[in-house]
Amino acid sequence: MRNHLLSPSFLFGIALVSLVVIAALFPGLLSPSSPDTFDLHARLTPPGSAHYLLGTDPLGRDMLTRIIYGSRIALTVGLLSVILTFAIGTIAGLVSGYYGGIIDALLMRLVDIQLSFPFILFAITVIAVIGPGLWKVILIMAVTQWVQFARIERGQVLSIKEVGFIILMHLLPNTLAPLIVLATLNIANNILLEASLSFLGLGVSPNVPSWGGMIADGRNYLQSAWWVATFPGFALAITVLGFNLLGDWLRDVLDPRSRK
Amino acid sequence: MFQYIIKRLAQGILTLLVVILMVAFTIRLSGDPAVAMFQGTSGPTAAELARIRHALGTDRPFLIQYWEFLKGIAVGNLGTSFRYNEPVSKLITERLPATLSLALVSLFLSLLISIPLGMYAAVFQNSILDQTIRIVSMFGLSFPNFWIGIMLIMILGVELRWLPPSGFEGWQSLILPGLTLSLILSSTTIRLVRVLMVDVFHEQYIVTARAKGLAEHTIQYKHALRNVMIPVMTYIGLQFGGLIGGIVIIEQVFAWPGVGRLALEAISYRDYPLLQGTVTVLAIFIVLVNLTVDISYALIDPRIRVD
Repeated sequence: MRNHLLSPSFLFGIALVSLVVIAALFPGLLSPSSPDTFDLHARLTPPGSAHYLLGTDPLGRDMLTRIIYGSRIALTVGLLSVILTFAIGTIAGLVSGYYGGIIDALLMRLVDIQLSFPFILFAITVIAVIGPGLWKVILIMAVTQWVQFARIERGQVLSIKEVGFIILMHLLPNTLAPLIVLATLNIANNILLEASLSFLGLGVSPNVPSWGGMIADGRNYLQSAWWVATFPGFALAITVLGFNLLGDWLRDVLDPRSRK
Repeated sequence: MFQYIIKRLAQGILTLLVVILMVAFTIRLSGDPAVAMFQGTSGPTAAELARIRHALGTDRPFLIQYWEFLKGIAVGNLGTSFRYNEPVSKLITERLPATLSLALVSLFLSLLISIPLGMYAAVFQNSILDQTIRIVSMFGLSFPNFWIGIMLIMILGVELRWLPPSGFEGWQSLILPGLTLSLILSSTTIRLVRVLMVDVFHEQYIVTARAKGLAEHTIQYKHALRNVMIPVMTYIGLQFGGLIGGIVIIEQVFAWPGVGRLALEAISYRDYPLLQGTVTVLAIFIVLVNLTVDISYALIDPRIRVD
């Protein structure tokens, strides 16, 4: 274990994720102003000025503050969607693997369908109808992604099914390892998906600072104010890279076979 | 073999039916399209709404509408767009070449990037370049595709003026959106090529080829690369669904006149027949590509057929 904790992907990953979690939990501590404070005289101030380290946006709001507050939306969507997905997927996989039959056949068809229909296409169709919103985005992710978790849990259950129900209940925790890896990588993926939807104006409400929405704001100022679209992208990359590194590391720790 | 193809075809058709049903059902949840479509200045009267409903066919039960829509797909009739007042199928056919050419260019560019780099990384394992490729591809996966697109527009389009930043001005316009999509695709493909190549280098026939005294580059290009190409092409084919998802966003970033942008236009104008048509056509393409990849893979590699 000591060896694992010293691996560079763990150290780097946990450092990045901690940074983002601290920003999300205590945004007031780190940010110089509040996300809604605007100064129309200071519109599109370049980065590096005395008051605005990363510059200001088209409404004269501090970029750094809004990026720090943006971590809240990213983490909320990433974590809640994956918790929901995990819960639904594990239960469905258990039932499907243990009872088999028609439930199992149905699940496998759903897996096929989910794999052949890209999330963005499904999400924009649903959001076009029900309208954007934080909870709606989270629910759409859970509804589409639980099948991946169910498929893996089903496979795990099938491999230990013969031992009988009581023992099965004891062995269940062991079946969760690959799901934990998938969950960590899914947090990263869903943070990117939320950013994509918010970029298209189909994610969370435009009044809440979201990294995807901020990048969209910057699109109209590519010639005059490069920083508006640029900095939120780095915030996204830091977060996503952190979770991806942790996911890769967990895979190495939990599945000794994948070690080279 | 024949049985496998039939089974795979049946699965593909079932998937399509369910996807089309899901799309149709979701769009039906939008409420009464007649209200959305009504153009008059005062509120619509009941008689006017009934007339529009009848014209749209939305006064009939949902399953009948679904069946009619399926029959329409078979003959290329996807209904009429509210906004353009033109057949949806015509609007989509006009935009489809732009989307498909973007998809093909992205796939081609991603092979062009990932095969040489993946091979190089495998031949010179753990060299500085191998490490660099690994770290860069990890970073590449962490940035959202639309942000990479915007950065390319800013640097190559606006700042250096090497390439048209957006819109459609001839083949040069394909390069930036194609490059954006292929960079994302390459990040994972490079890793796959590297892993497969490393494995192949330990195979018996490579050892034999070395023992025969064949030149190292002959072994690498003729023996190893050939065997790696089948799984790589399959992988790339199966990424097509994800690629279409990316294209919807990237078309928006680059103001590219494709089907994805048409779908987003349909959303902002609440043009439900157009939205249903575009999403359905994209889904059909994805299922067809996946089916083709699976079946051709089975034809090439007999071991797959035993399912």
